[in-house]
Amino acid sequence: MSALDRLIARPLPRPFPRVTGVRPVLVGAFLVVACLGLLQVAQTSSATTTGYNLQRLQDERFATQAGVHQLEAEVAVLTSIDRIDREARGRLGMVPAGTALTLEVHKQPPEQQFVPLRFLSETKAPQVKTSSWWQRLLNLLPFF
Amino acid sequence: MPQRMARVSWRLLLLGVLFCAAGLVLTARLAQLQIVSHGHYAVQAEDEHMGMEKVFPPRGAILDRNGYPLALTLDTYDIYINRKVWQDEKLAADGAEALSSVLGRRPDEILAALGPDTDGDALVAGSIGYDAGRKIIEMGVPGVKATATIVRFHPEGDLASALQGFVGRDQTGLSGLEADLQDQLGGSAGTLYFERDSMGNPIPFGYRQLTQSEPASDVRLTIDRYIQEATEQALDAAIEKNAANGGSIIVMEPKTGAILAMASRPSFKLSQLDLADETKMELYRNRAVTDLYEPGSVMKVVTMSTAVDLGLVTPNTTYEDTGMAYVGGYAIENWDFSANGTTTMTQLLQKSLNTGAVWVGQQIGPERFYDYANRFGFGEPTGVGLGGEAAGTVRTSEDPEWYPSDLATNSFGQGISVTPLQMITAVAAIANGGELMRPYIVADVVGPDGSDETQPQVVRRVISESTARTLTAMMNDVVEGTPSHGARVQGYHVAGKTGTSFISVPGGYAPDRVITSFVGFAPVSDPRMIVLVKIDEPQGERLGGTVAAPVFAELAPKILSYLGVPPDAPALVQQGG
Repeated sequence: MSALDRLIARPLPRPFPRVTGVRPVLVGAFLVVACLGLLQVAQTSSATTTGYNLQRLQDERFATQAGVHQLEAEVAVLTSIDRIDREARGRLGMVPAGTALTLEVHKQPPEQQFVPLRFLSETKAPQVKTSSWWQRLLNLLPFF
Repeated sequence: MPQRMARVSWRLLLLGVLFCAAGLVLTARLAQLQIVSHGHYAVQAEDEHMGMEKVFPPRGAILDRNGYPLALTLDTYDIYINRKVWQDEKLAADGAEALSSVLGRRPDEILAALGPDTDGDALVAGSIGYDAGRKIIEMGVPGVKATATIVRFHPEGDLASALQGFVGRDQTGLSGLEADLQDQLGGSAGTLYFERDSMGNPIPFGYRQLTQSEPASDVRLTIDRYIQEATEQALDAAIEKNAANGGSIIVMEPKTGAILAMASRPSFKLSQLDLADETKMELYRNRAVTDLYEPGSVMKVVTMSTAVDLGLVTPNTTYEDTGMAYVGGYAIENWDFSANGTTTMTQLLQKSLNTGAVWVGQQIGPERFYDYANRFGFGEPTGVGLGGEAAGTVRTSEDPEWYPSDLATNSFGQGISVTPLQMITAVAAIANGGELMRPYIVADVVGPDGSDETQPQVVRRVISESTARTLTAMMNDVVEGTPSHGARVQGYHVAGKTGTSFISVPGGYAPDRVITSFVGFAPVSDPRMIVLVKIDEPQGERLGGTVAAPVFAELAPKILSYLGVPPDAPALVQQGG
């Protein structure tokens, strides 16, 4: 009986806690803080990635610039007097000019150069505008 | 008991006072550090955490008049090793092993490059290729730092070395045009501030602030590489043939003052530059503009121009040559000790008679003579824009140290000092119809904002056009009226004058040391080029006509042909049929 009494005397289980007005605010605040944290991490990560990409692109630009300078130097070597002289003597078998003979022609050149139509292309090739001196030098080379 | 309490209170009070005092001292010190000396320590902290590097824009190219490059810039790296880090023997051995494959040097050579010091950075490889430098950076060897730099590359080799000059490791021009045109070629360096680690290396993704550099400009010269090479070859050959000490050759366009070539010896070679060798400092200057010499008989054309312009003489005016002229107690003789009797002014120039020049000088008088010398540009720099240009020495009648004998010796080019550039510029005025042009060597400066072209500039009219024509004809008679003159050029009419002068030494002149020269232009009808040849202290032949004039005769046809100047007497060919 006493056991029954104890059972009866046992307090009733508490009802499921009611959601009051304070806790959603706390949860919301927690979620906001968490979101802000995530945003901060995401932003930092994004900035780091952008910084890394920027650095990589800058390195690529420097590398390309260095490559351009290297190519300029190669073009300059190919068009140097020394190299032209070597090629002319060695590969083409040329010799220094002897006495130059100048001819005086007593006739005015025609104002317009007449060329048979079959040698004229229908459309003019587009002019490539180049401002760099090394590109102009490149065009002077016979094998380019 | 109350007494005991009182004692305790007193002790506690003392302790409290002491603590308070200590606290005040600490607070005061803190305030001094944080507030009073804040600026000082903030700077120290920033210096510790922040690094700074100069970021140079790629140095501009030096081009010849046709746009062919004479000097270019290549991107390279300098490799430094932090000695403190490499005190660790294992780390140093591994690092040297890693670097050896890229640098192509043995590990022991790399370790030896560190030297005896134990602190600071050691340069172990300078100006290595860009790709090799990047590879070393990517290897990330501890204590190894690669610094981006540039190196000047000269595709035409040692051409115009003294004229071009060179740059130092800090990319600043040290001599020649590299120094004179530093602002244009170098641009303006930017500054990179960055956060650095304890080793001084930039922290990846740390704070970086870059002040952009101003881009450099390319400089196009009036120098023509072909004419320059032909000139240098001719000068070297003449020096070798005559066992001379040195010399200079300048080629100029008389109508504009544009310098087509400028060579001087002794000089240095860009390919063998050794700045550590102080004995070679002497070779770095451009002697054609920095060194003075007494022009000798070439000066007679200036004396004659003055007299003709003043209307005192004509080419046919005569004087009596007794072989000796007495001035101020001195007896002046002709170079060949000859006495020629009645002599015309043209013959005076042809035979280069000192007595005749003295006679003409006396007709002119000192005031007018030095006035014309000044108008021809002697005694002042030409303003060509090259560093170290000398003004020359002209002692006038107003100077206290001037003697009447000076006018006599000056009239045939002794006792007056000029630079080769001054001399060619003066004679170019005769070739240019009497107008003195300012010589120039920079054709244009091509920068990001466009091109800045140099325009030919007339300094002043020196003599009348008619006098210039008369003198041109007389100088033509000098070359073509003298049998077997060394300056004759087949197919072209040439005007010119030789000069031979003794070298001034303390107390007088060295009788066995001479400077030979020749100034000539062609074609006479429409001068397209003027050349000055000066050969210093030739051995064997010692006259301008036999040493310098033949150099002109060899060089002139090459230049005229290259410039497309038709000969005065071209071969006529008729097509048959």
